[in-house]
Amino acid sequence: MRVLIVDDEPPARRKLAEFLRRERDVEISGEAANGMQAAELIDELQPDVVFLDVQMPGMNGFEVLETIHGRIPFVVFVTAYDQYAVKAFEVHAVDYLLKPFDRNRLQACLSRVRDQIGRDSGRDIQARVEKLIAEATGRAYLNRVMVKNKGRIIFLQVRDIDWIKALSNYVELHAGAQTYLLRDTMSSLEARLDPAAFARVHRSVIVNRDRIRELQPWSHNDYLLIMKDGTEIRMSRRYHKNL
Amino acid sequence: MNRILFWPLWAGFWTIIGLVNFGSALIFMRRIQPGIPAWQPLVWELSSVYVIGLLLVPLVVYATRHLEFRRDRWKRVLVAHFALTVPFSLLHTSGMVAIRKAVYWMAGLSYDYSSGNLAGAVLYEFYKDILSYWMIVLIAIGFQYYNRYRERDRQLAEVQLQNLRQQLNPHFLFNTLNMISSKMYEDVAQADAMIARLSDLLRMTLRTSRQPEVPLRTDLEALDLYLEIMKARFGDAIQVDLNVDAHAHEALAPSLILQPLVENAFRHGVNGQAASGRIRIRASVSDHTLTLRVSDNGPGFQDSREAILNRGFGLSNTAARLQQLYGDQHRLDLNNSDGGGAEVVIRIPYRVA
Repeated sequence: MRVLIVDDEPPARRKLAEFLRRERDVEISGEAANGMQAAELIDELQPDVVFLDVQMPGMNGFEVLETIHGRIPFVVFVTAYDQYAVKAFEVHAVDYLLKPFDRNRLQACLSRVRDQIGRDSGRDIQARVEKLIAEATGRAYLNRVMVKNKGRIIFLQVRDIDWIKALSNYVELHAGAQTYLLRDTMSSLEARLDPAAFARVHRSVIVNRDRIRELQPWSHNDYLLIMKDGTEIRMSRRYHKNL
Repeated sequence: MNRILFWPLWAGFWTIIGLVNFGSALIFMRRIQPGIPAWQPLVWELSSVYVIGLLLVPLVVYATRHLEFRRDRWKRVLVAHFALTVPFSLLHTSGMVAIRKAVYWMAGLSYDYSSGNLAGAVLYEFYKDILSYWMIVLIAIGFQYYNRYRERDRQLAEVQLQNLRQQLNPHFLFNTLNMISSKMYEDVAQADAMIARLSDLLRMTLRTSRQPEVPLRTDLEALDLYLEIMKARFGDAIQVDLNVDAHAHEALAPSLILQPLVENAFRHGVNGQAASGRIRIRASVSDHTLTLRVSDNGPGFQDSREAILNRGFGLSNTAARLQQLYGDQHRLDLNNSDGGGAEVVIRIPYRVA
């Protein structure tokens, strides 16, 4: 399995790397020293397992996962001391390691991971982790997303998105003059957006309710949405009730 | 004390006082009026002490609580207390006379209180009551001070405990142990050195609870240990810049006052932009004041002073300790410096051990 190590303390990363290198089936695909780097590398390397430090400056472990899209990797949380987090891990049956740990502990953890990766199709784990993140960040909905623009990584605040359009395997996020691509599906994204702030108005369009300027009747009971920036979006009949 | 038990015990206490008074009254009355039944002096004394104990003492205690002798208004309080002696005595006299009349009436007798000279009898009681009134006030004030002292003691213990918990910060401790356990695979001598540093730091922490103030020099030694450990954990990414006046070294400061401030700077200021983190620590003496400044180049304080100090850890604990040790004689300022970044400034009286 391909593993990503995330910790803001170099010795902590070195120790984990040292232990993991001795495992035959483990390949260390990268190391991240802070939350932003972690989010980037998870997206770029698509590791199977992430050893994720919980307390990190800027963006903590939970916030890292919050910004990740599509496939959340199998996560092992690593923490030195945090009673509340540990309780949450227990409740949601998510794996964690307490620092400091010895090699036996890590191996026990790894064998649990091997077990679960083989058994769960990933869906189950993802659902559990998502619940945990919502609880830990106190937010039921997505707060920011990580997007790429001309090779740069941007952490886009969800409230800054004007509207979203579906492309085949991607969605297109329109925020001001910028357009970003995100690897995600319409329905998965819709499920994570706050329905009080965003509404699906078409099979392939979600709009930010705040950015709608007016609603004009269109043919066949359809409507035309005119956004504050002048963009016109067709709204199909079956989504009327969403607005 | 148990609330249910208080009033019976209280009544019992006044009964004992009444019985003692009754003894002396009986001996006295038997000398001037040999045939007097014992129950009569008993009724006199008990009626008097019950009115005082069960009615007037609670009222006086209540009044004392609201009439506090403070430097700016003690004259007014004194006058108010003297004025209150009059209703006190009138209530006492009328209350006990009412009880006596009732008991005598039940025994088929009539009770004559003043023998025709009501003013004289009331004045007689009044002079005795001045003394009773002030005794009650003094005892009430004594209790007030005792309670306040105990409350302060309790608060002090709480601050000390919190302080200890903060300095023994489990997060710091376990992360440091993790760093040491990593070093063991790389450099046993250095791991060993880190265990020694951590032990020194723990010893100093444990000493804090017994020794609230230490020379700043001692505190800087502890800070050095802390910084060495932080360096081992995070590498040289963070630059710490220390500048201490020659006079400041011997100045007394709350023990381990700097470490939480620096830790705060690490956590909120420096982190997140690890490559260019910079913490500045300044200690200077002027105008009999020791000034300690800890600043960073992070994003600065995001919340109001109240919000920060109400969070219940870190700076709020520092504020509580300063208040405990120096009262009004200190200042704690939280600033955002012009170049961005947070700055904590502590000013305390300059004293030397």
